[in-house]
Amino acid sequence: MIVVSYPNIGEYERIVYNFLNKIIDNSNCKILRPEKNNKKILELGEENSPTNVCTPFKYTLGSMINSLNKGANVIIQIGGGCRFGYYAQIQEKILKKDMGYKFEFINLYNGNKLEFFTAVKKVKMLNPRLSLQKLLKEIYFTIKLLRFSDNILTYIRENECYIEDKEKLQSIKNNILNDMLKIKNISEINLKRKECEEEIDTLIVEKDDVLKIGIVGELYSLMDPFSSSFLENDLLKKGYKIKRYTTASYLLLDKNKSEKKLLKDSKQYLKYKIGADGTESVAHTLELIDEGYDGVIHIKPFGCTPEINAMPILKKISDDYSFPIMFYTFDTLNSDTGFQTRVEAFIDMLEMRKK
Amino acid sequence: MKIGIPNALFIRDKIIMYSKFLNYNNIDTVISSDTSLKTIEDGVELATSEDCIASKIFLGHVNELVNLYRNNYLDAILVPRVYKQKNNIEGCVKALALYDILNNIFRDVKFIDVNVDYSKNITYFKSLINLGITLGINSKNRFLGAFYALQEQNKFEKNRYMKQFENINFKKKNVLVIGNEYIVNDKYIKRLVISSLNNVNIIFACINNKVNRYKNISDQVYFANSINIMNGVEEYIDFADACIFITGFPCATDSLVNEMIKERINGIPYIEIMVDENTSSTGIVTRMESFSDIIEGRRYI
Repeated sequence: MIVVSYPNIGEYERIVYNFLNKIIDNSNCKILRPEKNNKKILELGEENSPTNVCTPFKYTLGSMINSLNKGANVIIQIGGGCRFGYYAQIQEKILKKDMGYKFEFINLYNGNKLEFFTAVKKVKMLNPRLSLQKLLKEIYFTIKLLRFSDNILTYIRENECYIEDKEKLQSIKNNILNDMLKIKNISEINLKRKECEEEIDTLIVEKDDVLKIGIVGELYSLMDPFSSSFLENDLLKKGYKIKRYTTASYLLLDKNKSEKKLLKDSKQYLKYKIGADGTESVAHTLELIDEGYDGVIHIKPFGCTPEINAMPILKKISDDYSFPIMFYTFDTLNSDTGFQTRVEAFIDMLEMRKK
Repeated sequence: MKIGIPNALFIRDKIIMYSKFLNYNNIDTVISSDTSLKTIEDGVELATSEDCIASKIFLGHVNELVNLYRNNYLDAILVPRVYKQKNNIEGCVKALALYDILNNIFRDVKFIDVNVDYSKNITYFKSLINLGITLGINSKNRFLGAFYALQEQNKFEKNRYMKQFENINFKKKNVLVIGNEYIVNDKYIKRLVISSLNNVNIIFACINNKVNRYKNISDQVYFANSINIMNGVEEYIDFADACIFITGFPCATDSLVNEMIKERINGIPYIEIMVDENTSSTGIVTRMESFSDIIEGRRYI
């Protein structure tokens, strides 16, 4: 029996589950959903990773070890730009040669390239009878689902500060998260989107004096709540308006199209792309200033070069516009208390400026 | 006209090409001096605390040129940018942002950028032509200058490659030193790490991205620096009695490349030396002396 698992990243794990559930052969394969990132996963990753590697490597490795310990015998990993393209090869080596796990490792990328037909061949291991037509159909559906969940969760995030009925809001959120696991076709997605938007609109109560904070930075820290000490959730709970641009649908579907616009928007500070999401951090900060936000929090894992590239430019923007930007770096030795203290001090300062 | 060129980071590797192109067109060049403790201190002050040591050294070099610019000794500073190279190979992520970072740190200084991006058909030749256009050089001299500069660069690279082979000495223990060119060949770091290795022959293997031998170690790497290091390992490891990997803290790719090459190096003494601005020479000397003892000790095994 094949037991397939994959590393976790925020709530997107649900969409991966939905996709795999539709393409596997249920008689011979089952899916082991990865645990949400937690201290145990981070420790597992930390113990077995190279010393100076960035924290997303440690989280993903820890998540894989955890799944293997629970009985997974197939692990799927992808790759991409920056150091991410090197992850799969090293993780496979660590798990198989250094730790002695016996399992099948499916790496869908070749370095920084996705070779579609090679990837299809590898996916067919989970279901030899899977047709290309069915696979394409499910990829199309997953894209739609990803777009739906990102759009609706972004809409909620940006309006949560205007919603008084938190219980109702939580139940809408839970429904969306459940839908990410269960929705089966596109017409259902469209129906759900309408329902959710209407429901949320009825809950919104206009307020004037809400503190508005943007969050920019590295994608993993932004999209995985545990790896940023639940920063976004904490700020939302305190009633601040939060804007975060980076989502999986942006990275996978919109990023390439928006590069020219980002450089145009930030032409006063940037002539070229500065790597991974560094350009976004700069352009989005400028956009947040235009939109009247009160401050920006820039987060990244330790050693993230593209975001380090963005930092001197963000400091210049902060000076030019007298705009508060807080920088924070997450690592395995991160202290939640220290981080919260800094965030609280930053918010106190923003509130004083607003008054 | 006088243009300054920082002798650090990936620019070191192509400094012949840029200076020959400019000199051919009657533009004087001033190349920043070798790295010193002051270079590092200046760089640390200008850099973001998490920048790698190579970036801090680079900023120190630029700072030296900026001082010359502010004293009217230079008209501009050249800052190349390298993104995609041949065969989809990528330059270091730091290299993508140097021009923009410098423009934001030193707003009063004139920086001239020259971009290489094979995905947009901007080859090294085309980038020199573009540099010529920026500097107002006529088309004939642009072309001739670019041909001449590339020829000189190729000659230099070929000579360097041959010298590396000639350097192998079978009468002594050969120690292979690998790492990014701008770390391994930086005089300050070289002195810090290598000077205490006695009675051994040092082979510096850090530049060669023209062969595909790296694929024996990994066919999934795509950063030029990783490819250079792996090619170096593949070419010289059979002649080596020991290997030293010098890496700058906290180099993003080196942390993973180190894991990939460890297996290939298996069987001979191997040490990874990580350097940053706080590296103590005493600590390094102690480690290097122990490493020398290990190499020497193996003679009796």
